[in-house]
Parts: sequence; C-alpha cells; structure tokens
Amino acid sequence: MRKSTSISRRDNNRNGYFFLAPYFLLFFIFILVPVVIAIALSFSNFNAIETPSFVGFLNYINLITKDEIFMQKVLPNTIVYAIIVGPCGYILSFVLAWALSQLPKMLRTIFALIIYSPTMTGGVAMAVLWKIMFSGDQTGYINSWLMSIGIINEPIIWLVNTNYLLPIVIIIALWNSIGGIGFLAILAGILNSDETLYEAAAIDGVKNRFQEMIYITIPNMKPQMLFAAVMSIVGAFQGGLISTQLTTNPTPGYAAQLMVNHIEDYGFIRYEMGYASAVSVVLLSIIYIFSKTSKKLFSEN
Amino acid sequence: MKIKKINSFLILITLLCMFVTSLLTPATAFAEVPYKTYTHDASDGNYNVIETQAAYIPSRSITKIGETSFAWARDMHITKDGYIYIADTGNRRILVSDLQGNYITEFGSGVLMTPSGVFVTEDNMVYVADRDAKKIIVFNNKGELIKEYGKPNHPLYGDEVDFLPIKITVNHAGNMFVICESNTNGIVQISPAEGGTFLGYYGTNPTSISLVDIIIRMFMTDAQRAKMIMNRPPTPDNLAIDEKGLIYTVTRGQRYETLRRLNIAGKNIMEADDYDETPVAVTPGNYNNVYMVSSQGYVYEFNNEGNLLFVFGGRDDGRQRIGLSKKVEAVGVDGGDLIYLLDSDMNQIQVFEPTEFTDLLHEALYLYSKGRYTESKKPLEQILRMNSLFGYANKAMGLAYLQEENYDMALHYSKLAADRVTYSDAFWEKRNEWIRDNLIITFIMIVVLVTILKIFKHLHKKKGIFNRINNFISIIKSRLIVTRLRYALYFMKHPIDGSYGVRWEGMTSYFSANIIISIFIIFNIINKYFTSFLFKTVREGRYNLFSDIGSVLTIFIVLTACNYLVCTINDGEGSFKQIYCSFAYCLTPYIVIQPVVFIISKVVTLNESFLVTFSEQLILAWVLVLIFIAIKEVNNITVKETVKVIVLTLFAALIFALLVFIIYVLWQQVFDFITAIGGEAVYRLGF
Repeated sequence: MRKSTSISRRDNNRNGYFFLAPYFLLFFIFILVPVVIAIALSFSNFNAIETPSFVGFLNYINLITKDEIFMQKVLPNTIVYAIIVGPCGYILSFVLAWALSQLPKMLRTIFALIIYSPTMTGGVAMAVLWKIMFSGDQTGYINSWLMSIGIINEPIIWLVNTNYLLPIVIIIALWNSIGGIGFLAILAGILNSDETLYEAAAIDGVKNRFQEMIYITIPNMKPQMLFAAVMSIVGAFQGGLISTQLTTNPTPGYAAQLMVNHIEDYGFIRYEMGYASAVSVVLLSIIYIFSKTSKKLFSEN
Repeated sequence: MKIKKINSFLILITLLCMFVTSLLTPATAFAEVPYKTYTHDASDGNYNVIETQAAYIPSRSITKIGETSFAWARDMHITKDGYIYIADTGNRRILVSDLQGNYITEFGSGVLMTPSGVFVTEDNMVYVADRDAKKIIVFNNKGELIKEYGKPNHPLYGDEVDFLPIKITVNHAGNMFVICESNTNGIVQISPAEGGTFLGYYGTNPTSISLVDIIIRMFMTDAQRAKMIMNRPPTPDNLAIDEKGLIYTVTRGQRYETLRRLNIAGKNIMEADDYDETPVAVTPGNYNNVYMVSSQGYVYEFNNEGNLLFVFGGRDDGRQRIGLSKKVEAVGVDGGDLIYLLDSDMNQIQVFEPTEFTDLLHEALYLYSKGRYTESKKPLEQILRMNSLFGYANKAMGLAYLQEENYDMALHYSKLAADRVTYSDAFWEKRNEWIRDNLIITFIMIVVLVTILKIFKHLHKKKGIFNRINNFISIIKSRLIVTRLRYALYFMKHPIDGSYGVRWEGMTSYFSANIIISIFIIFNIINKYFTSFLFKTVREGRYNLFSDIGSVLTIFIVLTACNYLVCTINDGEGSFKQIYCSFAYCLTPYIVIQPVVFIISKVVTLNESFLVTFSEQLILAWVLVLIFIAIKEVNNITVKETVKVIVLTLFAALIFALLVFIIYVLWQQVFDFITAIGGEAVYRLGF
C-alpha cells in the first residue's frame, strides 16, 4: 500500500516535470539565458562586432557619476512616470473593471474588447488619434480648442515643448494602461466572486454597491489585485514606446526620455551594448525592488 | 561745583569721541542725500527689501541750456559722443547741448508741432516723433530736414487706427519702432524703404484674462462675445534700444512685466524682480544693466537678468531739494555712468553720479558678463564687505564659485542669496563627487552587512544567541502603552477595523494619543527648520517655536472639540475620548513617512524635488482619508452624514475663531479703558 503510493508519487512528479518542460524550456531560452547574458555583458565593453572585453564595474560607475543625462533627466522622468502611471492606471483599471462587471454579459464582452484594444493597436492609435490631438499647429484639436475659448492666442508646439512632453506622455500612457492585462485580471476576479456572499451581505445590512465593493469584492479577489498591482508597476517601468512613437529617440531635450528609451539609445543607436546592458540591469533591479515592496504592501502576510 | 566739572569733562569726552569716529569712518555722502537707497537681500521671490549705501548721489542740475530754458520737455536722448538732445515740447523745437549744459544748437522750429519723442542714431540722424503733426520727422545733426514718415497705408495697420507717434527708437538697420498713442496693437515697426514701409506690430503687451471670464466665454455665443468689452492690452509708455538691438519697453498700470526686454520676435526675455505702477522711461546702461524710472522720481537699476540692484530717488514735497523730482519724463546715461533725469514740472535735468560702491558693482557686472568670473570676485568681495546682505552680490559670488568648481563656497553664497537654482547645481556636483568616491565602498559595505546579518540569523536559529534580547523585546512589546502605540501602525493600514478597536476594544488612551501628538509636533518642527535648504519655507536662522507648537495644538483641540459637539447633536455615538484618540491616531502616516521624506530631502536636488513634494501630498491625502473614515466609523454614521458633519465642524471652527476674535477685541477695549483710567488717575492725583 505504502509502496504503491510512493511509486505513484514519483510517477506524478515525473509527469509534472514532463508537463512543465515546454514552459521551462521557453523560459530558459528566452528569459533566463538573455538575463544572465545581459548581466554578464554589463561588466564588459561590447560594440556588437568585436569580442566583449571585461571592464569590471566601470559601466555602473559611469552610469551613476558620468552620465548626467541619465541622472538628471532619465531617472527622474522614469520615476515620475512610474509613480503616476503605475498606481493611477491601477486605480483606473479597477474602477473600469468594476463598472464593466455591472453590465450584462453580451455588452460586457464587447466593451471589454474595445477597452483592451489600445493595448494591441497602440501604434495605430498613436498615429491617428494622439498625434492629431497634440498637433503643434492651429489645426491640432487641443490647440484649436484652447484658442477658440481664448486661453492661448498662439498654438503651442506640444510635442517639442519640454514642459509639456512628459505630461502628455503620461496622459497617453494612462489611457493605454487602463485596458491592459491588469484590467482583464481584475475583471476576471470580480466576475469570479461568489454570488451567495453578496446575498448574505445584503441580509446582513450592506446597502449599496460601494459597500459591496469595499467589504466583499476587494477582500475576495486579493490574488488578482496583487497580480494587477505588480503588473502595473512592472509595466510602468517598462514603458517607453509612447515617447519615441510620439517624437523621436532621443526625445526633444530628453524631456520624456525613459529608461527603456535610454537603453535603446545606447544599445541600438550607439551600439554600446555593454553600457546598455548595465542600464537594463539597473532597470531590472529597480523593478525587482518595487514589485517586492508592492507585494509586501498588498499581501497581508 | 563738582557736578559742573564732571559735566564739562563728559562733554569733552563726547566731543573727542565724535571727532575720532568722524576721522575713522570714511566720508560718505549719506547725510547729503535726500533719499534712501534700497536693494533686495535675496534673488528669489522670497526677498526682503533692505536699505543700502547710497548708490548714486545728486551732483548738479541743468536748468538752462546756455541762456535758453526749456518748457514741458517730454523726451531726451544722450548720445555716445556726449550730446544731450532734448525734445523741447513746449517750445516746439529740439535743443542740443553738451553734457555740461552748454548750448550747441537748436532746430525744428516751424516744422515741429509737439515733439514728444526724440532718438539719435549713431550716424547722428535725429528722429523726432511728433504727435500733433502725426509724423516722424528726420533731421541731420545740422538741423536740416531729411525725411518725413506719415501714417502707414498698409492694410494690416488698420484704416481706422490713427497715427499719433509719441516715442521712437531706431535700430542699426534704420527700422523705426514707434509707440503711438491709443494704439493697443503694439509698437509700430516701420522700415525706411520706399518712403516708410509698415513691417508690422511688435512686442504687444500680454492681456490677462481671469478664469471666470474664460468659463463665461466658453458658454457664450459669438454674438454675445462680440458685445462684451474687449480685453485690450495696454500700450507701452516708453521704449529704448541697447547695443545688441534688443528693445526695452515700460508699461504703466501693470503688476507684472512692467519692464520688458524684447527679442527680435517681440517676445519678453527678462523678468524683472520689481515693478512700478507709473514707469515712464527706460534706458540701457553700460554694463548690460538697465535703468527704469517712474514719474514719481524713483530710479530702478536692474542687471542683465532682471535682478534689482538699486532703487533710489523719490518725489519732491515742494522743498526743491536736489535729488528729488516732481514729474520725470526721460532718463539717460552717459559714458561715465552719470544718470540724467529730465523733469518736465521743474523744467530741469538732474544729474546723479555713482558712488564708489556702485562703481565696484558695475565693475563686477562687467567682468561677470565677460565670463571673467574669478576676477569678478574681487569687486564683489569688496561690495559684500560694505553690505554683506546685498542679494545680487551674494548670488554672483555663488555663481562665480560654481563656475570655478569650488562647490562649498558656492553653497555658502547661494544660501545667503537664497538662490535655490545655484544651490541645487552646486549640491548636485558635491553629491556626484561623493558618489564617485564612495560608490564601491558603500556597495561592499552593504554586501558585508547583509552577510553578517545572514550569519547571525543562522546562528540564532541554531543556537538561539539572541533569545535574551528577544525576550526583553517581547516584554517591552507586552507593556500596555507600547501595544497602544503600536496600534497606530495597524490603525493607519486598517482604518475601519482600527476605528472599531478605538471604539469598542479600548486600544487607545489619552496618554498614547498625547504621545502621538507630541511626536507629530516634534517632527513638524524638525522638518520645518532642519530640512534641506531647497525645501525650507522659512528664511535661514528664523525660529518661532512657540507659535509652531501653539498653532498645531490649537487647531487640533478646536477641531476635535467642534467635531465632538457637532457629532453629538447629529446622532454621533463616539465619546470625546474616542474622537480625540482617533484623530490623534490619524496623524500616524505623517509620523511614519515624514522622517523618510526628511532624509530624502537632505540628498535630493531641485531636479528630484518631486520625490519630496509627491510624498508630502501622499501623506496629506492619507491623513485626510483616515480622518474621514475615523469620523464615520467612530460615530457610526453614513457617508452622507459624515460629509455633513465635516462641513458643520469647519463652520463651527470658523464661528469659534470669530468668537475668540470678538472676545479679544472686547478685552482689548476693557484693557485700554482700565489703563486710560489708571493713567488719568496718575496724572490727576499727581503720583
């Protein structure tokens, strides 16, 4: 009896590894190996053609002490961007998911698809919507509107003006992040919660939807909330596509240069792969620290 | 006898002292100057106006040019080669004199009607703006009429707009910049080509529109908008041109941008520190500085960036003291930095000459503008020896040291000048240096520390070496007051549950609440006075601890009391103790987060200042949310009632403040009455 269970357990383990294998293989090849290589390259001087030469901590020391653009523009920009887009996008997607969950099923599916679409079609939306909205002459929607009500009397060149570039990027990123993966996870979490709990709560004296949300929905879907929080923070730090799609890389006056743009700038424009790897390792550790803290904050234990 | 002797001895000593001191102090013109000179002690917006040494002293006045006098002269121009051209408006001519007031020539009689503006180019062409003739008339320096420019007939000028030139200036290319009376479109720019081509309007003043107006306009139809009073920009009052061709304008009746320096596109590129309600004239100086005068007779000197260097002069009260003016019309500066003020009421030109102090400042301005920072430090040091609070000098010293990469001194001087930008830059460099030197050591130390911690943890698991300390900690933790204080951390994260604990489980007491309030006050004070210079809201070296503690306590107690009173009549169930304690516990986010913010503030520059401001906003929002929930949960009321209670509480606090004020005023009356009676009694009874 005892013997057979141990055998079957070993069998189960083997089966488990077997089922794990495809994912592990992909993870190993496409995530683990590149990360390890990036960490290794970050200690070297590598221009993508010659063999990398070992330079020790030089890249990191240069990054912190010599790269004024990184310290004065890129790092502050990235932190502002992440601090605003991460939590605000999270809250917005929660509110949206909750509102959507109140709709009947057919309508909900259609809306969910519409709201999720910017994540898939970001580039198109950027070209047809935001570039026209923030066009720098009087034909741009926002300029035209502001001029018609008399706030400004000459058009503002939104996408070149260093004062406005980062706020614009943040607004677009918020719009973009409302309907991301986090949104879908939260929506699934809300829909997954047990109907009987709501009935019980109604009997116990819950009066409105807000109380339902506070006392039942949120405690009920902690795992999904945590997942969405981590995803939104990671996503916020990895953002950077919007800046370069709106303008160029580097952005005018480095006003909206984020860390990912900086990596791209060094890696694929200047071909200083070692330095770019060092920046990406720094980005990786920042994301790691932030997701750890958010996990600590959001999970009870 | 004896007393007399001592008296005479004293008098002798006093006289001797006076004599000696008069020998020791250098002879300054302080006593002779009928006005005070002021400057700013900081370059930021947060400055104080301080008195300083006389910057210019009145030296003489020109009342007559040779034998002829002038009447109601409206403008004056001083050329590089030392001639004064006066627009003698009352006598309808142009008078020319040298700098001493000797007659050279006059011209324009019979041609000019009201010459109110005059400008002389470098090739000695005299441009006169004549208001009533509606023309600009050009003479050569012999007085021969060369050209006349009338109203531009360009469609963009506007058919219905009259051409009433009052002031004029001309650039190197011969383009005229004309201020016309009642033309609000801006400065009229005319090129000499083809008998005067209108180039367009230039340097229009900004109009201000209030938020209310914007909102009203949003909801109006076009027809309604057309009926509203047009929001027209004010016309500039005077203008001048400097060597680089930049135009300066002054506009009266504005509180911002009274003095503007316009680039070639007509955009303002200078923000002056100070403004005047009635500026009448402006002229560039010889050191990239600029002088602005008001019709009251105040002369402002600004540097290149619009920082105020001096303001002096003033209105004459009828005693005709030299140095004061009645109605200034124009200002000019000659090659020797003498200032000439044309007064149309007194019909004279007053001449002011710079003191040694001002000469030093000008030298520093000159050297600094040429980029010779190290050399500019010498005159600046001398200035600071004479007046150590002089804001511009401190700022320039800070910048000079920053250029020299002497960051410690740059920090010192920029702090004195309250120049946050320079301070931040210098601090950035210092911090960079520190990181460069200590990065690897810090990294190694962190690694070592983490390993040591890991080893100790391992040892503790195996052998329990920290059992004693752990026991001690758990004993402390089990003390009632400690559990109550630790409850604040729980309260902060779980306000609804936390309020329940406050209400039913007796998790708080007056004692623990008072400790939290005291910590809050202490942190508040530390943060106010010892935070980094960049984030300090109070000036360096000023302390007002009593009012800091008093205001926090008063606000807290009044709000709590009012809230209790309002709650009890609105079905609130909480007792005073519960409300007091829960409010105190609501301050926990400040106590927990503010120390971190404080430490961060010590290492960030303006570049990363958002970290500090953002965290402070976060704390505020958190505390407000906690207070809202605490009121709701402790009193067991609905959201709607909570909002009502909060509004009523604020209202009650307002009434309370009003009451205190009234009682204070009444007591003041009583007090005055009693002192008056006392005084009277003393006086009558002759104590």
